[in-house]
Amino acid sequence: MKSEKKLKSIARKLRQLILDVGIKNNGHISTSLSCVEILVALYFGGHLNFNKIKFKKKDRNTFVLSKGHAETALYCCLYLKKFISKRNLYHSYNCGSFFLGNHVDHKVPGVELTTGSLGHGLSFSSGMALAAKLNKKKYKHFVLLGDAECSEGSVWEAALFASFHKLSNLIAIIDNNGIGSLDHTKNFTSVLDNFKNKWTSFGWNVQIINGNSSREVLLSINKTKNSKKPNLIIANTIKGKGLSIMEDDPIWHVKKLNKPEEIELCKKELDI
Amino acid sequence: MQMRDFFINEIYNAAKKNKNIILITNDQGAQSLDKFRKDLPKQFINAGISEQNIITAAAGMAQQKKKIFVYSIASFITLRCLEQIKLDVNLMKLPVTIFGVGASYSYDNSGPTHHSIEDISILRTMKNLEIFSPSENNILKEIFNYVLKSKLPNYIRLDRQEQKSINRNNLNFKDGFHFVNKKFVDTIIVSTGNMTSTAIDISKKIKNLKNQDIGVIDIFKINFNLKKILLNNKKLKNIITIEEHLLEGGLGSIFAEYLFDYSLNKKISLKRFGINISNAYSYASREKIHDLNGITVSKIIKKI
Repeated sequence: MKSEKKLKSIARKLRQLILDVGIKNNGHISTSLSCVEILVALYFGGHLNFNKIKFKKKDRNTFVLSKGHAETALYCCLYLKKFISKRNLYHSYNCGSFFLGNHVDHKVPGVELTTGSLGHGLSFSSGMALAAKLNKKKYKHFVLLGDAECSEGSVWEAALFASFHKLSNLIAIIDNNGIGSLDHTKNFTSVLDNFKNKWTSFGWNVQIINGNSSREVLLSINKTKNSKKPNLIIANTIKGKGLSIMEDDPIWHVKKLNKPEEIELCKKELDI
Repeated sequence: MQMRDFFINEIYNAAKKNKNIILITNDQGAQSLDKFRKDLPKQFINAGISEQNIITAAAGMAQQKKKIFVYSIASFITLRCLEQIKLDVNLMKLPVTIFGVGASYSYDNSGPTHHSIEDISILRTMKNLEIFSPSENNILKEIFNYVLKSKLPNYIRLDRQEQKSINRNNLNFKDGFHFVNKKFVDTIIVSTGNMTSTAIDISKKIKNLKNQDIGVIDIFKINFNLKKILLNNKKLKNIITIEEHLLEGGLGSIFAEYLFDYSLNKKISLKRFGINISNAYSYASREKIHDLNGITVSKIIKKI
């Protein structure tokens, strides 16, 4: 495991990139910022330790970004892992570009599944985990969901499926930032009430951690080693983490960061 | 033998030799499935009534090199999980075979929840998905051999009732259709699934009544080579399409679109017989539904 200091420094670099690319390409900045430490833990903490060539082989851990609107975070991460070039990174979302749209696309090297419509990732990763189990492979299957995404019924279908098949090789992480697209989740859904109990009662091994700490994410993944059940990590995070104007404010899920004074403030806060 | 049992037996024989073959169902049974469950329990998954999860999990398993067959009632495994089919199977281009029993009005008296009269219109909008609509078991056997090797996603709609065997030569999967009888005549009937036997009856009756030769083409793959049907037959003047499916976007509609787009509509006439949308969602026996929609042998003969 890399040192905490090193992981923090990568997280900082990733935030700076997300802001820069997000402003230029009009990506989803705030939702990308909430999951920075989770992605850093996965990609730089030893779990998704493969390059472009190893990615093509099926014998490896997998990762699905089910909350596909955190595309900027993932693309920047894949840039830091040398999957994609700087040129492609900064040309993403442009019409005719190799990188289509404002959501994760499987044609991008390093991306397992096209996402952007919610409620697909947990089922897909469950399928991969079950196939791996049947093939007697010991690989882990990670999937990152949004908290508001858990309103989708398909998430709970998958939760039952994974639990019945005892998919202990499945590690689902929920970016629990408390905000959906329009509003704070508490204002429109009861899905997060007794959230831990809901998953426990569905037969999952559940942990609650501070998701804005890569160290905590890595420790919680380590704790799944001897689990006999599918694993859920409820990662409490702050949406827009690192930028004072965005933190915990729903409006920034879709609002463009285009006022010069706001851009200047954000850049200053991230030392760009 | 019922189409679904025939198909499940084929999967069973292949699965015995290949451990990578997995059959998933949403709690749907079949006589032939009992043997499969007993002999190959590790290759059978009853995932419960959860079509959305089944399709995406099947895609995930296919991503890990498993060969997946998904079995259900056609109406449930198409529309309930349409987006999952579109994105996780079709867009991801993963080799999942979805086979639904109960094409069209097979479950006639079960009502609109079990009717599948719009699946062709809807699923033919999916770029990578191959759609099969076999008219009988010999054709289904060839379709099975094809999908077993295929790297593309596909959907097979099976009639619930046993279907009569028909004349056929070797199937060409690039064409997606075959001539049941006369090839180069000025009038052809094009049909699919259970309606091909109706088309054959019409052709025979017209031969007896008017001594006129009418060709019959059976479409077994909905993504078929339409151009070949139109261009290979220089005598062709009239096309009659018959389907137990909504006229909106179905088989006849595929011809209408093409004839109009390539300005062939003045040279070749088209008459479409199928389910009128005003009659959709009706409860009745299959015979009554055919009569109501004018797709019986005698009613079609009167109009052509």
